[in-house]
Amino acid sequence: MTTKRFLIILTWITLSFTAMGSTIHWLTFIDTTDPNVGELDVRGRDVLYNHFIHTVNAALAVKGYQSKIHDYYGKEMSPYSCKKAVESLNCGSDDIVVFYYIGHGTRSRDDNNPYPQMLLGTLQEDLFIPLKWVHEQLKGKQARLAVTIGMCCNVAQPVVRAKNGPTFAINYGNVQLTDTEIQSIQQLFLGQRGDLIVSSASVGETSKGCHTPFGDMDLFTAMLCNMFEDKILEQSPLSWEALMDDVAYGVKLVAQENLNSPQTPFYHSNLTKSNMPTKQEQPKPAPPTNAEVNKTGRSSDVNNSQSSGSGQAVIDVDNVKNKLSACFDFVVDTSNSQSERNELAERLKGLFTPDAMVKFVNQDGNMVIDRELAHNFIGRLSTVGTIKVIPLSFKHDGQRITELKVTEIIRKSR
Amino acid sequence: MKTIRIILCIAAIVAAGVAHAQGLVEIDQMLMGEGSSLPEQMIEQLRLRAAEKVGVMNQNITFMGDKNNPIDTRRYYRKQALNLFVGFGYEYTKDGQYCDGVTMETTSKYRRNKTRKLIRDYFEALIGLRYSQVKIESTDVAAMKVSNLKKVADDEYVCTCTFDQAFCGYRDGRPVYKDITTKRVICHIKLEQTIDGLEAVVMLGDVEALETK
Repeated sequence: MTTKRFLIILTWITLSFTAMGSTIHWLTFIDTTDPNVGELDVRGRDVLYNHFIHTVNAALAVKGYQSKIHDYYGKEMSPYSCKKAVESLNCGSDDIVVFYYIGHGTRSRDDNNPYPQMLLGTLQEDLFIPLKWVHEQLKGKQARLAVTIGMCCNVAQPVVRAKNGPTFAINYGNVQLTDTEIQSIQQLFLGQRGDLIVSSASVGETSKGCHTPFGDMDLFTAMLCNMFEDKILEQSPLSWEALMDDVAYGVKLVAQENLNSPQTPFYHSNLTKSNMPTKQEQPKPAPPTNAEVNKTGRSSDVNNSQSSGSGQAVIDVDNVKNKLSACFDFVVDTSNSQSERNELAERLKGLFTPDAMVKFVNQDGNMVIDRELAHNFIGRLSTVGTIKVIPLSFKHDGQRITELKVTEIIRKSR
Repeated sequence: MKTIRIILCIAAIVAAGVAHAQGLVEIDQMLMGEGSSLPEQMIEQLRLRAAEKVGVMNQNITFMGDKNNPIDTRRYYRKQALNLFVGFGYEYTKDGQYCDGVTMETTSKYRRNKTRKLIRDYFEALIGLRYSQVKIESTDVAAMKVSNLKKVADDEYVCTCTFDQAFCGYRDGRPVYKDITTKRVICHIKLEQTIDGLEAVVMLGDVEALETK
């Protein structure tokens, strides 16, 4: 009897775990307040999120993957917040983790590997964090895929980058993904297992900034986003090695021929082909609580908050946004029952004031192209062909949300 | 092929400096009040947004017509779809005139005249159509014809989205009525200057039936 009961409990526990949805974790650390390169990196952050991260999250949401974003920038980006975020990250075996750093970097002559050390907004030498350390930590999390990308200089000298200038975005469209693009992204993130570490520059090289189709920003991130958007249109299976080879080739050529200074990105890959997982069951998520909303302070813009540099403000804000994102994923997913989706939508409405507005922002994040009462938007969310709704920022009255800015990713049928 | 793609990406990055200069002139003119039009980027975004909303309306119409979907869910879709329209499908004022609600024109191969119904009534009729099955397909968003924006007031623009709608009604598994109608929706775009910048609201208006084949 005891054995039988034990087996039942064991089966229940096993089923509970297999029913848990998998997650893609993004850890981004972007130095947006540096007096020299901060403005370039503001655009770098926008482009990275709007042209890469949000698109990937949408394609993986179709496979039942939740996205958890840990977005450290401005005063919240520090060596302390980086160490804490990396060490405290918990991953499941089917999870994916991607670390992306944009900022100053350097190296020591005594370093025993070719990867840079990240300054993370400080000039205090003993606080610099080696990119390789981050990668080793993430590898140890036993996720199915761990990618670590450092976009920084790899030489002990001041960063030389173009000054900020006029910007004009390339993108005229909203985010619409075709089935080919969705499958390419799924292939990239789910068709390979293992780990990959990337440096935007080789030993002794600086990472450059320049005019790009996205505006003035770092060359490496612009090339990555541009190549990514181009390559996901291809019919053939997309691999990290193929993507990074093309990015490295492009960066090297532009740096050599247009910026008269070498920049050679490189990577080390321990990736193997893997079977694509079947669609993950999404557990019904819980909306953020009023207390969690209140905890974020008066604004979700962490640059405006009274920051201690510990990263706590980011944790609080991202917690609310990630929970909202999980709820929206569940409501738009037609494989969940209509009644369950409607029930969650009704609960979500309770988190918004009756006159709260949802503002729809274009892909480049610089324009509100539509507005709607939050209650109407949430109500009709289960009736539209949206793949993913990405919460960008919110305002609240201390209890409930009064305004939410989102980007929608829509399936393009042909 | 691969090399060409890489070269195109690189060329885009190298050429971007030139694009900056061209775009800025237009934005500068707008900011200095030398032109009454919106920046080109915003016009394109709003035209696309209008088409997306028409796309949502069409998806909702397909769902409401489909007898395989539970009746309660189809009614739920009707309620939500009304939020896409000016006045949320109920009364509103147009050019100072009272209107009972946004309307939808319908046609039939067997009728000489078009019929105009309030959109809320059209959706109700759609749910209750006397066929055993109804299939409705419409032009995809990317293929819709969207007109240029026309300024109708200081803070308001309109455009139209034109699409084809293929209707097929079945009885006992056999198609008994088919037509393809070209329809045109008026999209209303209101602009508001807020502390965060210029913001738009896009809502759908009357739907005309242009031609039925």
